[in-house]
Amino acid sequence: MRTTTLLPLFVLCACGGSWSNKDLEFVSTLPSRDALSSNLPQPKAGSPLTGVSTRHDGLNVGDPSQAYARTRKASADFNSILDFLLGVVEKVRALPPSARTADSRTWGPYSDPNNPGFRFRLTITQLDLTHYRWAIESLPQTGDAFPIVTGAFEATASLLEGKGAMTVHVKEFRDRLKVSPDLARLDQIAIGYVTDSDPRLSRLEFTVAPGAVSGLSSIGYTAREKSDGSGAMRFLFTTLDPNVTELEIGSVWLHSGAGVAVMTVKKGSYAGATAVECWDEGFVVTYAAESWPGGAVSGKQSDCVKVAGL
Amino acid sequence: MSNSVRGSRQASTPLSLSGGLIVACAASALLTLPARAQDASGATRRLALFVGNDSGGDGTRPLLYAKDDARRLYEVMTRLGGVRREDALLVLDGDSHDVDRALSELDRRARESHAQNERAALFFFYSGHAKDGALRLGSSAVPLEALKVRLAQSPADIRVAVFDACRSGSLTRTKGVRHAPAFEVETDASRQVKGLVILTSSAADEDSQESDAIGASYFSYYLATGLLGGADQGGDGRVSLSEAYAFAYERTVASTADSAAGAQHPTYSFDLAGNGDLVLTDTASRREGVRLPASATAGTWYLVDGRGVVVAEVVKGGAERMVAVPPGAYTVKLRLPDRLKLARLDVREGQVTELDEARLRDAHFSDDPVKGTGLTALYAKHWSLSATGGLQAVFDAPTTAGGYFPSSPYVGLEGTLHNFFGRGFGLGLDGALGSTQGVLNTALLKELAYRYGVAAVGVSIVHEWGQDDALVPFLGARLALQLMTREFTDAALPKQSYGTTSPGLVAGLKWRVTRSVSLMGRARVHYLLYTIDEQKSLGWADLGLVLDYELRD
Repeated sequence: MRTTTLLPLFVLCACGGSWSNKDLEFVSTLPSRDALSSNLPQPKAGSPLTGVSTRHDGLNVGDPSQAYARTRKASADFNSILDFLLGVVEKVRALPPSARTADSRTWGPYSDPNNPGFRFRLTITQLDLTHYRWAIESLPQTGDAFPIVTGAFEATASLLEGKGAMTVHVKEFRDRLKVSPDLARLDQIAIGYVTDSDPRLSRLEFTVAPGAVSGLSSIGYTAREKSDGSGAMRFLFTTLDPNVTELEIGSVWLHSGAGVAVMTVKKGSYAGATAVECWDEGFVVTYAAESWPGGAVSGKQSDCVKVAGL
Repeated sequence: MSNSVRGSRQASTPLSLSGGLIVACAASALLTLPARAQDASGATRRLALFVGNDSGGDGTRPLLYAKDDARRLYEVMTRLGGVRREDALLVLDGDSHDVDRALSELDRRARESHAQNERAALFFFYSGHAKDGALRLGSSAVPLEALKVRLAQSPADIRVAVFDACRSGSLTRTKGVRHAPAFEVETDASRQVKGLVILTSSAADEDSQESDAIGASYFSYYLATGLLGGADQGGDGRVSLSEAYAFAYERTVASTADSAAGAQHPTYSFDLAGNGDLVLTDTASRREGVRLPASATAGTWYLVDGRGVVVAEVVKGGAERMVAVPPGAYTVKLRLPDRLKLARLDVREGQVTELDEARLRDAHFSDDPVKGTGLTALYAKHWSLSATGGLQAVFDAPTTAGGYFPSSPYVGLEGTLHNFFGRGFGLGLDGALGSTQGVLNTALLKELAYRYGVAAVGVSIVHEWGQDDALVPFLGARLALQLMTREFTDAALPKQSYGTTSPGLVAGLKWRVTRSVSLMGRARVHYLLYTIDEQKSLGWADLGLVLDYELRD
């Protein structure tokens, strides 16, 4: 009856658009680069730091911090990988969905410019009030769709805060789609993140294809960031120095940029040895101590900043 | 000044007076004013019905002054014509049923007078459209034949019917109508008159015309101004029917001779028995108005009211003349070959103001105080441009509580083509932009700040009432195309938009600050259908202020 009464009004109303509160809820369950990226303070223009190439034997107070330079490179790598993985998600997020149901939104399918004959689509499904599942799938012209990326999100405080995970199923598509040589060496990339705690946490883990990298089955980055701007990152760093082939570095920093790195030799003749390096807001060493044979100590440990809660 | 015609396409079947004996040339007016004349059969009670209707329904264009004509004659006859206010009925914009009821009531009063040994006279005046053999009162019609029968059968002893309508001469032409101003008046009447007199404003094949300069139809104006004293050729302060008709005839023909619609010739017919002097108004006994002394310059004198509209005129010869205009401020105008002579004078209640010609000042023709009503221009098609600002509110929950659309201020521009669909009905086109900032909060989303924008274009049909008044109410329908956008501070969230056509109503009040500039307060209410997340009937309203400038010739 009500519909009948309003029918003339409906006829006069040609409506359309993307105005949807529910769409916002769905897209908010997708991981965003801003929420997951590492935000290491950066040196101002003109800084003497030029990255890892500044390494030289012996490290003294006042030298540019090598640990910061390594952390900075790792942070940049971490963010680059996120950019790559979330690029499609970010682009799709800016578009209105192509189809809506009560508990799902679908974007696409769109043509895959890198893989003629294939299309891809993103689907987000609401499982219950707080649990969502999403997937980017590739659709060949014939045959079943196969997953490229899948993810899940559990909202806690709100849809913008919760716990999520996403997996890049490299093994599933590397033989069917064009992939870069680096990606071809992997079976899977997994990202886990927690955005409803302080610090928030992002973890990247690469599962290497068997035999692709000698003696290595997985590589990981872990980044934390607090609301006050302090952060932390843990990663592996490889060098050509036979004594220190692989370092595990755990860096923490303040919003000002000053930080501390604890480095543990994982591989090499100094395996098990550690080193500590502190830097100030200008990213120059305030304290350095190496525990391996012949290692030097420079400065006072009391000059290291204290970073709590990470 | 512009003239308009009381359009009627085709003359109706000629009507004849029903069953009456034509007493040609014996139709001396036989009715005396009750205050001044009594005879053996007692006093005469004057009853009157004044009907004015600007609307003639389908196939006619609205008139400008029909109601004013009825009001004018009503005032003249109740001031000077011996018609008591309670015996004068005024039907404005009424329909055929209203006229029928009024006539029935006056018939009842006539019979009541007879029961009290009192004579009764009925004065019927109509100004409006006539078409296809009927008076047109809005969408209703009164057949002329039936009305004439009705008047002929009225219990009143004498009936004077005046029709100011196009081709109204069809009422008289089969009964010896003459296009000449000639009642032969027998002043020493011995028998009291009985019967029916019909005056019409134009011949059976002529249109009747209106004029902005006089704010009336020509015939009604000249009849009224004649009754005010302009027609008192005898100089006795009493205007008889024959004098009034002669004056109205002469002046109407003269004034319309050069008009585009052509000369308009009033007509009369009568079916009377008896004789006497049919006096319609007595300007002497009222002793209120303007006196032109015998010494005043001979010529046509005009009285112009504060609006710049001629309300009376008198053709003065060598004798003193009285114009019984009601109290008020007037400009007296005499038109000479090379200049005007003007003077301001006031007429006070119960007083006669004598013109002192020494007070007249010379004026150029460009200073002519006659401006006219301007209604023809007012009611002509013309554009107006407007700037507007207001606040639009959506009938929905606040966006902080999960609603879809926020309230927003807006500014806009509008154009209106007034009288596009007929008098008072305008076509409006408008556009507006609005913007605000808000916060969206749903059960699953924490606060999301956004910037909201709205752009709207609309088309409306609006009717204005009383376009010549200082306050002009209006009401109409509008169809809007509305586009809304919101952009979130969180750049990761998509920009959203929604477009819809939205039907609604618009109403408001226009205040004329000057002839061209107006301020309006306006409210609009619209239906808004939302269809993305759900199908939901919403609405919105806005309150706005509009500054309007009318582009008139």
